[in-house]
Amino acid sequence: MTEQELEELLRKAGPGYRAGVEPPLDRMWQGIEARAFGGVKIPAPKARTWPRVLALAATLVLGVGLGWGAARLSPPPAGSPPGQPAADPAVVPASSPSPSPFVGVARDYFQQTTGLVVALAGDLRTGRVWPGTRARARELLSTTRLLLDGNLPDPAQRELLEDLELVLAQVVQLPDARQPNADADLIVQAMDQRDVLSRLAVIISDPATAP
Amino acid sequence: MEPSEERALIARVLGGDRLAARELYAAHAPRVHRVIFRLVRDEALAEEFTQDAFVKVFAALASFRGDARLGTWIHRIAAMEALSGLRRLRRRATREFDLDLAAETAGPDLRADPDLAEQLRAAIDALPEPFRVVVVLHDIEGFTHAEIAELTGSPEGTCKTRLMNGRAKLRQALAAFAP
Repeated sequence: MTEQELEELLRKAGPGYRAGVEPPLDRMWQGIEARAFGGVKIPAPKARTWPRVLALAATLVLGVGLGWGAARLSPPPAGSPPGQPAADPAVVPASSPSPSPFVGVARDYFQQTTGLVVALAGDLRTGRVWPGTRARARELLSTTRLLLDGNLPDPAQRELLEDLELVLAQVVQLPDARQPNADADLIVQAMDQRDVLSRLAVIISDPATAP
Repeated sequence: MEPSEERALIARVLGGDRLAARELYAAHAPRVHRVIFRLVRDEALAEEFTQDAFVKVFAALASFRGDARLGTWIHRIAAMEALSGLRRLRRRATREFDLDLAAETAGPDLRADPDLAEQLRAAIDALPEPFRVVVVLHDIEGFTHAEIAELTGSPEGTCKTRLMNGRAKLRQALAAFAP
């Protein structure tokens, strides 16, 4: 069989290759809807969101820190029995309805980071990083470190943040040249080996695991 | 779908319109599932990876820059998801036995079935995985060598060589059906 005959065969019969399976569209959608939108609103694109998020994160960290410090310095409440220490304000009762002040910032951060990492994966496989990506990675890196300095109770989230910190730090340090770069391969391998995208998807699709 | 309609649909999805999200899914899911199924050849895995792909699509939609058509962008994520899934499966499988070697040595019994389309399917399925992936993406799905290089993380020249070798094996396997 010649190359031309094979090409002709592929043109005629190729579209039929494993094409007969009917996708279970409804069943798949149920799974997608639960994971992609389960209580999490899709973020609308906003121009220059990062400085605002960064400022908000910094404000929250400062606010929480001041709150803790002030509470620890305050005298015990009048109703406390003598000799018994005041309740530690850092210990939140299990039944407390108030979520951590980091929830909104962290959720926004994980959603936006997912977007960046998906785009980044495509960029890195070509070895050419889109100029805006590095700037966004730098902003995200700052937010990552702020969140890492916070009181994240979930070790899985902390581990993911530490992996993201490494990936983002590598991206920030990529040279400015628009030529394929060997370092890009290392970043792609690191993301693949640590399964960064899948872990991000799990975090953002499950409101129960959101920080 | 026209580009202007795509942009409007994306804006609705990003605004939290769940019906628009379903509409976007319905427009692209059949082909996404088909691409993934052709790569992984397993219905359960194709279903799982299709869901994974769309979760990523919706998570990353805000970052869609519009450099390519939405369909192209979605199908690239789908192919990437399938290939990433295949790599995970291969890592798992190599702990038990070498799947590639098994596929390479099994070979189809082409003379047993006179149906040429079925023989083509069997011949493609019998290709070693790196060749099969490139043949499916290039000759069946119409991806360019540059896109395949990006998806697989291999240099473009490697993709071209794999396509050439894959086609050579197909010609050899289908020689009995030459006119």
